[in-house]
Amino acid sequence: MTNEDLITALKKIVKPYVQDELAFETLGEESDFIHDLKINSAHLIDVVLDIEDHFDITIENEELEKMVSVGSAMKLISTKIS
Amino acid sequence: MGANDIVDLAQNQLTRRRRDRFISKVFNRKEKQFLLASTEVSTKMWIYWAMKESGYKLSVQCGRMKRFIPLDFSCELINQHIGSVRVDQFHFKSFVFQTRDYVYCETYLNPSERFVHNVFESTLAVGMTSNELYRQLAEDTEKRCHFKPGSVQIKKNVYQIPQLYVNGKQQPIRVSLTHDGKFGAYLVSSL
Repeated sequence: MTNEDLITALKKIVKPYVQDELAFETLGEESDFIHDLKINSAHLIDVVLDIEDHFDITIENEELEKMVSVGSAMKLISTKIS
Repeated sequence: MGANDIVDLAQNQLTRRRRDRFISKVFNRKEKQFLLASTEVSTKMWIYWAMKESGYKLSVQCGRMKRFIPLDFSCELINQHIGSVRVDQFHFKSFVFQTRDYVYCETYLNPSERFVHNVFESTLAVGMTSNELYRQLAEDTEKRCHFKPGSVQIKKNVYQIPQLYVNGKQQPIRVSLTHDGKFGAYLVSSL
């Protein structure tokens, strides 16, 4: 899976939870889930659950702290699907 | 110091499977045992969530500048309305208010400190927004303290902690704001 595919998939996953539409339009690897996209903490858990479903992976509880930005989520997903 | 969090229950309905997965990600063993033994698992789950979230906001006020990792915070209800949140060296006290529509939690470092709070429903079709919450707090403060209309402003600092200004001057009071779905609430130390 290419980085582009990953970003496209992540964009679809985070869309329902984003509160800053403008930041969503310019979403990139550096976009911070909370500070830029304004996803609230409860919905960040929803994003994790949706990522698990979409990629058929398990994100361990101790890995939740790595879910900071689109880029860090991509890294985490890549290591699990490779 | 005090911080608050509100959860709109209608806005946060989860399927049983989703709820159980949410619980497995967010709560420690003792918390899970309590929740899963409860007769109202979903409501109790959101109460514990609101305790952790308000505990997190309070920990930031106390200088713990870390991101919110729910498992860092352990919480416990002593009875229906009183509980505690622990994180690192901190031990906070929580007060829980529950209606059919929302759960609301206030967490304090020193519960004897005087605070003013208000929980209210949005008048907007889109639900509560930060701007509506700011406006309500500003108007209520102006009325309560006999300030001129338009003299109170709310702004967030670099750590995203809200600050209250009167005529452009920052006031030495603590402000905590929360909104979810239709509901919003503020908690401010007395001016």
